[in-house]
Amino acid sequence: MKKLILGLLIAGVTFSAAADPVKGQKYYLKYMRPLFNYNGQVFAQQHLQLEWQLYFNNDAKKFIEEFSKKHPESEKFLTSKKFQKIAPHLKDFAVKYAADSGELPNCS
Amino acid sequence: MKLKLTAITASLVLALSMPAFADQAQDIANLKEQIRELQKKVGGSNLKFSADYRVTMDSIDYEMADGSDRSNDSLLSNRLEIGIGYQPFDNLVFKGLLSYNKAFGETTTNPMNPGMGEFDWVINENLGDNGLNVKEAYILYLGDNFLGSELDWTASIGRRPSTGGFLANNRNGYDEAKSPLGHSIDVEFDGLSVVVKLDELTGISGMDAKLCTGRGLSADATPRFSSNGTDYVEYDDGLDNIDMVGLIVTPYNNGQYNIKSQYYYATNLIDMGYSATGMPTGFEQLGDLENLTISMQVNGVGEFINDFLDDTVLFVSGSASKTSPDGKMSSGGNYGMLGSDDDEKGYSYWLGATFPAFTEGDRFGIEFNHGSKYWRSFTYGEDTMIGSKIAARGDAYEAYYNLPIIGDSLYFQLRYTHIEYDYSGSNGFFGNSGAPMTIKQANAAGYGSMVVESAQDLRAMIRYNY
Repeated sequence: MKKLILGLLIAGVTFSAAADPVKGQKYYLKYMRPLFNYNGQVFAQQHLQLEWQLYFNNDAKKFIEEFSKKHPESEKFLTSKKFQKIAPHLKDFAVKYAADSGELPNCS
Repeated sequence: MKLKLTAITASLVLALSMPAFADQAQDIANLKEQIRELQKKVGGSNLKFSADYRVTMDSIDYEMADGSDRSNDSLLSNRLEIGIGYQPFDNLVFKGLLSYNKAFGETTTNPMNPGMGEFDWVINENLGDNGLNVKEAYILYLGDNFLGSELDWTASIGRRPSTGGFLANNRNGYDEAKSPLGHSIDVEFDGLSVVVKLDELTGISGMDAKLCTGRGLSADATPRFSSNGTDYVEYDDGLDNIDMVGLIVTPYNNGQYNIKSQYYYATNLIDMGYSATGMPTGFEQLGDLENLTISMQVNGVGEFINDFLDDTVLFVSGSASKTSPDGKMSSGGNYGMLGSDDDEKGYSYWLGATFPAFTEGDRFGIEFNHGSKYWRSFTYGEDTMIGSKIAARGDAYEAYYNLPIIGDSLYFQLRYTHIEYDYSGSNGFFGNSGAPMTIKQANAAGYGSMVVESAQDLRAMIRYNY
């Protein structure tokens, strides 16, 4: 078992994960939803695709500024290293479901 | 394009006709808002189309109970699904999906007798003719104050998405699952559903409850323009409605850990009746079926240990079915469900994992499922050429490799499925065609050439998705 875990850890070094809207959705639900108190659709629809792109430029500087003001309780997380790890995925999720994305809600 | 020009012109006229503001910053803010609204109109709320087209080559092989072998080395097929959608208001959506699924070229075998392939539950999952069929068409309403509370809710009615459900989406190569739990339901369905989001009420992440009802078969009725003017009246001695009611509860979903449970009860289930001389006499109704399924998916192992574990998905699911025969004797002396007069319980479990492979975006997947003697699922529409692997009363093994080639639009899959049956009747209906016999019993009864002992399918698929 130890060898298997070690193998997985070593294997992990060789993979580099691309930004992914599905992962962004997962991270939104896990980390952002409890802080913002609205669902991912409401979140993504707040801005246009281009706006989200700009918000996440420069290590998501504008995003951190705006959402720290909107939700002060989220500031600690938004300025953490963990947020920087999920930010690329969150950006892809926000862009995919932005107000002008044309994505329609599903029957889920 | 016309819409775009009209909207842009209107926007400019509106902007020019506005009174000049002393504050230029205010002017800019107003113009920005107008452009924003325009962007939303252009990109957001007009008619949407999507296309999902794929070509598959399946090499399939069956080993029968008597040791004989049957195969098709290169079954080539293509499937097209055209999605349409429109959201005229924020809280109202229409969606549709038109589908075509056909083997390459002309099919000359039994052109007038497609068997059960044209049954409504599976018509778009089996190889048919060149026509487009409606796979989905439904209205979705999005509400935000369920029964006066502040709970978000949705309601939908129509031919709803009910194939490729939770967990089944992994092997089908889709990131997102459709509605039901793939362990027990994977067929097309007409009905309605209401979902109430309970997370805000309970404080439990992702919690919701969904009530589903629907009709799997409409009772036999007189045709339109009946001679006595009684159109669409139910026949006294015809088939009754097959109705189903189900409840899907998500007790917890935080994005990483997603747990779902599903209970359903279906009435008046059918199988083919036969006369004493063995001639088919049409469908007969035999009794009811209920099922309870609990599935869990872990999307990422641990938390930021490394990219491999972050991208690994593990899942486990358990399901139990129970028949309730109505005790009526059929014309040919057949009775009971799954070949038994008694209530019969069956169970199944299903394990799987998908994980990153060699490059960005490609993934391996492995799955295993086992079903017991009287296990009966509603998975006739599962996307497997050799019959539903989830329905197997025995063991099913599967491995696949999913490779995105060009962005999210062009995608390749190689998949191998192997099923070892312990009992016959796995993909049968709810009466005698679903009766379980061991391989030994089948041979002893002289059915060895009619019962599959093992089946395998090696599939290569290329899919375009927009």
